Formats: sequence, structure tokens, C-alpha cells
Amino acid sequence: MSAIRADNFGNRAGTSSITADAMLQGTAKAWWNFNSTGAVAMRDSFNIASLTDNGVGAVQVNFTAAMSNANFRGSQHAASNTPGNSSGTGTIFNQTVSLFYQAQYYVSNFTGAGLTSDYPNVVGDVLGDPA
Amino acid sequence: MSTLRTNTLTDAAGGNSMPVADINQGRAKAWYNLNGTGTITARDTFNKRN
Repeated sequence: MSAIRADNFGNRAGTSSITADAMLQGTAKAWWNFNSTGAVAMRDSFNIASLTDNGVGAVQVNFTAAMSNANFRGSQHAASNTPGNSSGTGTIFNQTVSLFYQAQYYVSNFTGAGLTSDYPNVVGDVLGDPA
Repeated sequence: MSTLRTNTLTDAAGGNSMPVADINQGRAKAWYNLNGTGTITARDTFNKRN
């Protein structure tokens, strides 16, 4: 395996560059897009080994490579396939709750009324320190 | 301080190619994990001053 070590990466013109630290810290360490209705099914992902269905609205996202700790930043959204809502965004986003662990990310999705619910579109990502 | 200048970064196998401009535009510029109960404390952050 080869590795390039540098403090900065820039375009050839020298007009745009970023530090290696900013690139390392700022890139997503994992992301996912899955369908949680019926049998949970991943559409596409990065650094996700598997999904565990923990019941209605609850899915455990298992990382392939664990984070260095549980102090990462994660976010996720759940949406229906129904276009159009009061905000006009084209999808209906509902309440979500997340728990962070070094090797897992737990998502729980609810309806607007606070009832647990599976959704056809569950998407999320993680930023932080890789192990 | 060293600066590597290139337009595209690619892995050793020739895959996963990505323009440096895309990396610059697409990366998160800051992130944080806070405890907002009581006195707010940061567990971990990037590019957050206070």
C-alpha cells in the first residue's frame, strides 16, 4: 500500500488547497441509504458492514471500521416516498433519535405523532476520528 | 510545510478518483458532538473555537 504524506493538498494552479487535517477531519467516515420497511435493505453505503433490525423504527448501523471513540458527529433522516408537504421539500421528514457507539450507530424513527415507524428512505452520515 | 499539487487524487489501483476541488467543496467545514445539558461541554469537535 502506498501513502502520500503532505501537509496540504492543492490544485495544480495553486489557487485552491486544503490541509491534510481538514481533509481527514472533514470527510465522512461512513454514510448510508437504506430501506427500513419490511426486511431492512441497504441501497448504498460506505464503511457499513451490516444493518440490524431492532424492531419498528429501530435499526442498528454496524461500522466496518470502528470509530476511535463514541464522540463522533452523526446525523440521519428518515423520509417517506410521498412527495410534497407543508415545507415543500418533496419528502416528509419525521422525528428521529440517534445513539452513538464506537462501532455502531443506532437510529430510531418516529411519525410526526411520536409513534415508532419504518421508512423507505433512511439516510445518514458520520464525521469524526477513525480508529 | 509541504504542499502536494494535483487536480485529482486516485488510489494506487487507479480507482476512487476524486478532484481536489470536489474534496474541498464536499467536505464538512466543521462538526461537533456536544453535551447540551447543564454546562455545555464539547466531547469532540473540528474547527469549532468555543
